[in-house]
Amino acid sequence: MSGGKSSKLGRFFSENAVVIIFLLITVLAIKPSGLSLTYIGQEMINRIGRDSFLVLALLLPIYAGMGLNFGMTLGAMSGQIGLIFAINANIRGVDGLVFAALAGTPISILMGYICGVVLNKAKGREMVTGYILAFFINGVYQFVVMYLMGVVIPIKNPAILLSRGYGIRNTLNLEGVRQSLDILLALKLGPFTLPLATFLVIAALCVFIVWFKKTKLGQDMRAVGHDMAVAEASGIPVDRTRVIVIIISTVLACYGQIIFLQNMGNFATYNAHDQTSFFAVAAILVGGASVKKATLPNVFIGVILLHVLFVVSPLAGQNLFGSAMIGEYFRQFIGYGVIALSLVLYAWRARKETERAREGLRGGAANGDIAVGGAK
Amino acid sequence: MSDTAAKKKIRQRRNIVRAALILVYLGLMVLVFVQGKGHTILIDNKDSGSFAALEGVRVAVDRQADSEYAAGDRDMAKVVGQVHRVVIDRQDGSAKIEKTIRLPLGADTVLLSLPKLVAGAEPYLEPFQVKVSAPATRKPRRPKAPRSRAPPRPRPRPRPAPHRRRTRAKRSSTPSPAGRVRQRPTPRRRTRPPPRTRTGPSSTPSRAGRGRNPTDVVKDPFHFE
Repeated sequence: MSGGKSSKLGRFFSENAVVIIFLLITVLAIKPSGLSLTYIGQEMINRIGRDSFLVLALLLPIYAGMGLNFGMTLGAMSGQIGLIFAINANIRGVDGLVFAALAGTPISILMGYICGVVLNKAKGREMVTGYILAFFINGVYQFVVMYLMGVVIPIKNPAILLSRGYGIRNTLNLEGVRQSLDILLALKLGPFTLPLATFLVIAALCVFIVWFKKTKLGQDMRAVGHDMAVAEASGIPVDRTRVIVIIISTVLACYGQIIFLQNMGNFATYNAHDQTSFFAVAAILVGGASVKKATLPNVFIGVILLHVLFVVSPLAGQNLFGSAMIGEYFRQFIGYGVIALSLVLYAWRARKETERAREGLRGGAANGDIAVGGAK
Repeated sequence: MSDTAAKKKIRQRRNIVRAALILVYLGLMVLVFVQGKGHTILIDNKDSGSFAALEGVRVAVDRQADSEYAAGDRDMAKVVGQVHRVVIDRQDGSAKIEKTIRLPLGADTVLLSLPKLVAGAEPYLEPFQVKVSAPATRKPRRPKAPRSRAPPRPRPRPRPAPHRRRTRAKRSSTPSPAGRVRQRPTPRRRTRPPPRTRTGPSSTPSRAGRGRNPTDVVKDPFHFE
């Protein structure tokens, strides 16, 4: 009995190791940072609004068994191009964001299609392929923004154009659209200010994801994620489904990047998208998701935990070691470390479960407790 | 109806729906563009032809806070959209003047002449060109002389250090274990001449002799012509 309990406890810890480790580090870092809980709470509210959309864009590819979509960077680049067009046309406020989204959508659909086709050629290695594809498309993006804009693509606004007459400036000021969505329906609740409009957009996306899973395409997607061979045998167009899922994810990443940048208020034209996928992936993994399994709560838990650490770690580093840079290094280290730890734990768990299943087949531990990997 | 005809009809309907969706998409883009286009209105209270500048008026654009203009003043208001209401209060007890202006879509910055607007004379709105000042160009470098193809001459070998240094450093009273202590001569300090203070307008030409007064530092990247 106690053995069963301890094994259950061990399993719980092994399944939630990343969350538990992260939670411990975060809680321990709050006190030395010296920040008030009110401040941290307000920061979390802002950052949930800023990042959740991007992290939610990762869910559908996980459901489809394509792992963590590092190719979402392509969508982020599309969103940035949309924003460049919006600034060029001097469109302000929420209209500017809508214009950026409308301009970015066709580009992100094209990017998503390219990404989906490439990932279909590299089944089983989607994550690394997506990561490298993002590097490749980054080169194309830089070429377009640095050389074609102003020459081939008409850019009239001198404030964003380099003085040589073509190419976009290194940093763009989003003064016209800065926090326009956040302040659209700002609700004051005690010491906190809630960006209600942003939260409504995120809630709409959550509803969309839940609804989408119940549609025919959503069921196909889950079947493909569970077992591609079985899905193919049962008449589901596997490749087409995967391409559609990646297109949806890329378009959502485009919108997510627009929401992210309007909250920030400016963006580095040539490298704002570099870390997008990396931090989104880190957030969802910190929330307890894995390569094969993710849920909506994972997204929000992850965003909160990761960003609490982001807020407190520089100050904790400053107060503990006398240097804020240690906190910054710690932040980077944690980000990469979480991804590595999660992937290692996933591989280790998958091997354990295979062994357990093998033992079950031999009759050693046939207690019906064999976990089968698959998308939930 | 035959199967082929039904398929053709379906394909036709699908194309119509797709075309309609594209049109709706483009229409939405145009709507957002027109509705959200930002403009800068330069409110100009200067003499304009036969219309004299207004004395001490308060002007408000839409629901923005009003500001006071003396004769010869110019200020700006940032607005979104094409149609705006301008309220002019002459502060002499007369009724406020309300005018609705429609900005041209293509113009980012327009000059609104208050005297003309009050008098109802056209055109009270004029497009205004903004030019970004080009960064100061450096003096072009002299082109380098082409390298000769002859093999490079060997560099002269550095001379060996003189046996004794010309500037002798004071030896410390307590010699080091090695017995020799070299003290570095104190480096010469470069002293900068004190900054010249200018009391009046400079008559000397600017650094590069481009006729630009050094005090004419353009803080804003934009300057109006």
